[in-house]
Amino acid sequence: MTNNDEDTEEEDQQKSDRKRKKLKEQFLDEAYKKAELLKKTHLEIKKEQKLVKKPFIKLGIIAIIIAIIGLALINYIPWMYIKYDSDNGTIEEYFSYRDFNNNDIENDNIKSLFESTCNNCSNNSKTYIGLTINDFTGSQRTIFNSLIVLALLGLIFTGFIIIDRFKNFSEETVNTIHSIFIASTIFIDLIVFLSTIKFLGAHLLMQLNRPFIEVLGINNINLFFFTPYIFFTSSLFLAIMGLMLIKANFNKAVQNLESDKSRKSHSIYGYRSNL
Amino acid sequence: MKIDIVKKTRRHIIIILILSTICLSLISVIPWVTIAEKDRLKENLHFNYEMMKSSDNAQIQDLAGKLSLINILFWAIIGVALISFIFIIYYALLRSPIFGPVMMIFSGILTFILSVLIVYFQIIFIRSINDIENLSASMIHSSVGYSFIIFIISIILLVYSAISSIRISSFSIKQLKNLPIQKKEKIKFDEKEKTKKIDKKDIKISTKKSVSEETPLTSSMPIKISEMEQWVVKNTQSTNKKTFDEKLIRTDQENEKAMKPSSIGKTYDGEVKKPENNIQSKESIAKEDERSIELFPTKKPKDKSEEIDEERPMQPFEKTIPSTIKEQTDGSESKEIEELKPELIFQTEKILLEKKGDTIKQIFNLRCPECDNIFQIDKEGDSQKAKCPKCGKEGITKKEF
Repeated sequence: MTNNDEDTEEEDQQKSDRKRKKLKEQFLDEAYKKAELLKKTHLEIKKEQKLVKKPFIKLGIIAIIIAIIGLALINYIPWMYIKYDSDNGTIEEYFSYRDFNNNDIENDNIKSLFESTCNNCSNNSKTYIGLTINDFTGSQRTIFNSLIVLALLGLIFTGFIIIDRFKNFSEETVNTIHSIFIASTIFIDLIVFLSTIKFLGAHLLMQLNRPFIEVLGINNINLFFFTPYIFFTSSLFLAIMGLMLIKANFNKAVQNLESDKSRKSHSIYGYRSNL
Repeated sequence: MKIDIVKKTRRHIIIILILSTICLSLISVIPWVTIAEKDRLKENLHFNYEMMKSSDNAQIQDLAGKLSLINILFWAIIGVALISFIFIIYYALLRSPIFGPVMMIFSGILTFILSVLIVYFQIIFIRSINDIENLSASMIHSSVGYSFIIFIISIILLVYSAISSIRISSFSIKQLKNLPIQKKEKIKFDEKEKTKKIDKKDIKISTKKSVSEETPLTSSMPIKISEMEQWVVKNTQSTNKKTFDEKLIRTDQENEKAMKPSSIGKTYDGEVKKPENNIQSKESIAKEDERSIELFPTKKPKDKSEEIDEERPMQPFEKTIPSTIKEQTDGSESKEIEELKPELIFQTEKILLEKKGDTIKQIFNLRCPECDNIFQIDKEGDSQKAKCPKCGKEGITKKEF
């Protein structure tokens, strides 16, 4: 063995050592990258599982609250405000629905607005503004009943959502019942809306039939129906909101139609508050 | 195509709903007829729907009856529109092949019939106004009456309901006709899905087994390790053919055999495995020592880097790297280990990986069995010797790195 041979052997060994080191590093790098990838994907899956939560639909509770507020409004807010000039001067009065129910309107001029007190007048119409005392009592009853039905619907829907918490119904059934609930609330809102809109129509007739009203001794009449207007606007708003919600439900259903998802939901659900 | 039609029908239903609500509110608001009063005041008295209902005039009451019929029809349209909305949602959700289309046809045709009836009764109403003496329609101007507003809206409603009902019915009839074909396709699709599910289940079962072993990372590592080993073998084949040719051309099974103790002594593996066994015995001793020391272990505050690394199991690195690389070497390293023979064995707690540019630096966290101190050692040192900075004891690392 010569020195040259020994040197070459040493060089070979050194080379092999270097290669081994490089290989080690490469191997570790690759393993690290793969491990990182695996770790990331695993964490992502975990996160997704955590994020999927079944919403607790609060619409029923909201409906109950609205119904309670509405029932309070009927009792505590005056139904009609009237201001007019007569021979005795300017008269300004507020009336609640109880005044109409109990026939507590003592002023004959105001009474003649809602029922004919004139013996010589024509038999064509009893009133000139399209409102009778029955309209006040009837619309009050309609609104009252509608609010109770709304509260009942809210209760039923909330009950269903609570049952769903234990029984875990499919998304399809929840969506269908949700849309049925919204549709019925829209229907109730429309009933309230249309039972109060005649109070708005009274203003138009008041302008058109002004000469007939002035004959009754009521000049420069100003009428304002507080409770009917509140219910008119709120029911319109709720009906529009209901339409938007039903549209959102529909869009959800369309998304379901677009994607080939399974019919039953397989996701793990938690619970959180959501509309 | 399917979705487009569903979306269009939704739009039509919303329009029908809004139009019929407007008509219903207008019925209550606008004045319908005027009568020329001659008794006390010679003026035209305007009547809206509410006034007409409470009028003592029989002819006006008759007109009010017709209006109430129109009113009811509008209510019916609203009801049907809402129900058909629910039907469409139900159809889109459950994709019921028979119930959905049938109900959609039914609701579409019903809406159309109702809107036709509304227009018909409105024409009758306007005609009957003209037939009565002293009675005329209330006019906005000399030629345009209030009732025309509702009439025009109801005609628009009729057109929309006609379009939607034609669209819905044609689409639904087509769907009902294609029902047997769809069923066949569905069966095929279900079969495909079933096979896919079975495949997925198999994969899940295999992964679940590994998951149950230790951590999510280790679950898939056994599969990856074999791939990595193959990759290393290929690389070494291409780079160092002369020296490693005979050793690197191996199958996975052979590698596994080589890992087993039965293969010791047959080939070069005998030289490699012996020191490993020595190390293993030392490991077990160290573990026993640790157990004896840490009977009542106390929790120590952890660094952030340690906390992050806790999630990352490092066993596969420690296990696989030496095994794969040892197989490719001549056993020179094992000799070196034998020569070292230190008294203490530092157990590798964690491996920190720091990325600097393109290279990945490895820092090993070692635990001193004497004082339980955890200290770090760079990989670059490439030495298995280690010294505890706290107690000053010298030893070797538990695992080769």
